[in-house]
Amino acid sequence: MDSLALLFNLFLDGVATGAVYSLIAVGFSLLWWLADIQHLAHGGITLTAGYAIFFVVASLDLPLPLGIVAGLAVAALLGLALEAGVYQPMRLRGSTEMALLTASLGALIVIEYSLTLTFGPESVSIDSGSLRTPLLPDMLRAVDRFAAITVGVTLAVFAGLAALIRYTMLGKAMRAVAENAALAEVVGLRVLRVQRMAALLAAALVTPAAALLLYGNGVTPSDALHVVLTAATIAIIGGRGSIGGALLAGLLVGIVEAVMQWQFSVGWRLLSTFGLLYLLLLWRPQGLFGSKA
Amino acid sequence: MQISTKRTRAMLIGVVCACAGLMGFSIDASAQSANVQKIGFLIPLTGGSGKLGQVLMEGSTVAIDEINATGGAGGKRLVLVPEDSQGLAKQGMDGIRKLIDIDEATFIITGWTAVVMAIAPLAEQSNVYLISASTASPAVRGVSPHFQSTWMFDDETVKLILPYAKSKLKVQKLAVMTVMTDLGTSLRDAVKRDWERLGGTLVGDEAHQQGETNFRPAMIKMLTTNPDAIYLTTSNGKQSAQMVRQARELGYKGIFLSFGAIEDPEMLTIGSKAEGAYYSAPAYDPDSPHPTSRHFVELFKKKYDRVPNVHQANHYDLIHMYKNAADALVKQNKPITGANLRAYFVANMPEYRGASGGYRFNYKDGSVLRSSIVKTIKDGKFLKVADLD
Repeated sequence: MDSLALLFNLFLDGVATGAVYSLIAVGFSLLWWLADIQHLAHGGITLTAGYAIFFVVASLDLPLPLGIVAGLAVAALLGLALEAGVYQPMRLRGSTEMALLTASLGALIVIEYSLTLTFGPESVSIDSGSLRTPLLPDMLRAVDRFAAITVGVTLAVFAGLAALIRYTMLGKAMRAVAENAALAEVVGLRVLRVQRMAALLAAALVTPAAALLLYGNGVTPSDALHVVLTAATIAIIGGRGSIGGALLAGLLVGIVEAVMQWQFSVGWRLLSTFGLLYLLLLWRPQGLFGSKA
Repeated sequence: MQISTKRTRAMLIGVVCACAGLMGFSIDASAQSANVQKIGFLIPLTGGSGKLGQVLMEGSTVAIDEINATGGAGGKRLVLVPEDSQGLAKQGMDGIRKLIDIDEATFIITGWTAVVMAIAPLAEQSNVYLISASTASPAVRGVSPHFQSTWMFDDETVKLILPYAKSKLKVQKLAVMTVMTDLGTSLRDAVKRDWERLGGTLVGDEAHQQGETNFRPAMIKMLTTNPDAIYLTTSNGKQSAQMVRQARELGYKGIFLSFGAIEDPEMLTIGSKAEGAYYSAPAYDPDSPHPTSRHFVELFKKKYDRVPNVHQANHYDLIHMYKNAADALVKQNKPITGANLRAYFVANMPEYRGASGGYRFNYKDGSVLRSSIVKTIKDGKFLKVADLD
């Protein structure tokens, strides 16, 4: 395989990795846009969904669809619990953004340690078997059915989310609340209810990402902070509340992380992610698709 | 408010009885502890190497049970006190402080390079002896006179496995996956040096962080060089398994080379993908006719209902080495301290034949030479392939 072929393979591998990043980031971006929360616990919810799927599929030996349902249920309940039990009471009491951020960080730590106590500190994963067999072993090692499923699921989720935001009453309500919560309240929208639905949706969105992580590199409790920092970075790069932005930014980060290994060692991976963030913020502080304040 | 005299008297009697009870308990406890010698076991028991650590403890536990059943060591019953180092320096320091200050251990079984490097100065300062069958990095060579390895350092095992790979496995092009730790970088340097000395070609060298889980981009890059073999430098079994799995998923059909740390239960969880991994290990054979080996295998099978591996045999030997030293020191009316243990070993144990084979110690730098073999992973087992000189 020559140098350009290697670059192309790394690019394709980065697309698959970036797709997973996008799926994690879009929920973070959604809550940030709608409820003004830097939801750090989002990383913990992602891993919790992963562990729920692992428990059902690997420990109870049940089919994957049941695992997905379990992951969805656990993530949604956790997201809703945080919104209803932590964020909303704090907002109603007039808590500052910093206070909410701290509360979210505290929730992340609680989730991480709960997962560690329950499942142990080491990572868990499930073998994806023949899904990982390269379709063209000599030329395109990075292309296999798992990568195709990853990209397909990501596109489907984003299409569904875009349709929900654009065409449904809930989506319209979310846009109204995000635009001006006070005015939305005045015209009769139940803002608290919309925010809870958004939290539920943001949490549910992590489930496909959690499943892909579980069948890919695995999930580890101590990765919770790294997961949410990556999600936050992508949400910033993509632009607050932009679904298309989260998708493109996730793909961009995944591709840059992979492609930079063409010339540098894998140890520089995190540097490339945050380097990209800083460069973008210098050029376009509102992100790729965000609007200026 | 008046306090009744009866109530006051009852309270005083209760306090006196409680104090007497506590005194009796502590006298009893110290009487018990006078008959007990605690041996520290500072090894990862959770985390990526946790499964391996639990395996190591089984070997030492068999020896402890055996020795206690025949009167103990140095006239005392042995108690193994495990502390989870997680293979990390900070946890290692926390663990050794507890073992020294609370458990008063003077002999501590330990391992993993980062832990040994961190705890060795404190061990020496506290007159505690450290012994290890799970430290592979030459970075610990000479770290302290109070540290002795019973596992060959990898700059020496590399000299054994690489010629075998070249001559028997027909490896010409070698690549290295280097974990960014003391062990990883020193191993990479040794591999690079020895492979080039053998006339081989080093075609790839990729570095990764200790906690990395996604090796696909690095493997995609490495596989473009078409290596015949990839040398893995990580001592984390889970990480080794992840690397091997992802390389096989990408279509790599070549050989993996490594050192004894790859003999980790985690490697067996990836099934047939682990086949084609070769590594050097001490010449331990569970079917050996040697009486010490046979005796250990029988005891282990009786307790755990399975055949022991080299790590369990090594850790069985460590406890027996301690017993020999402790018995001798007590006979000489010498206290069992780190310095006295070392003096005994230097004077009396230049070599040792244990359950896991022969040892030849170099107490000047804490290294050891062992007769070695090549092993591979096949059919879900770690199997001997060849003897090494």
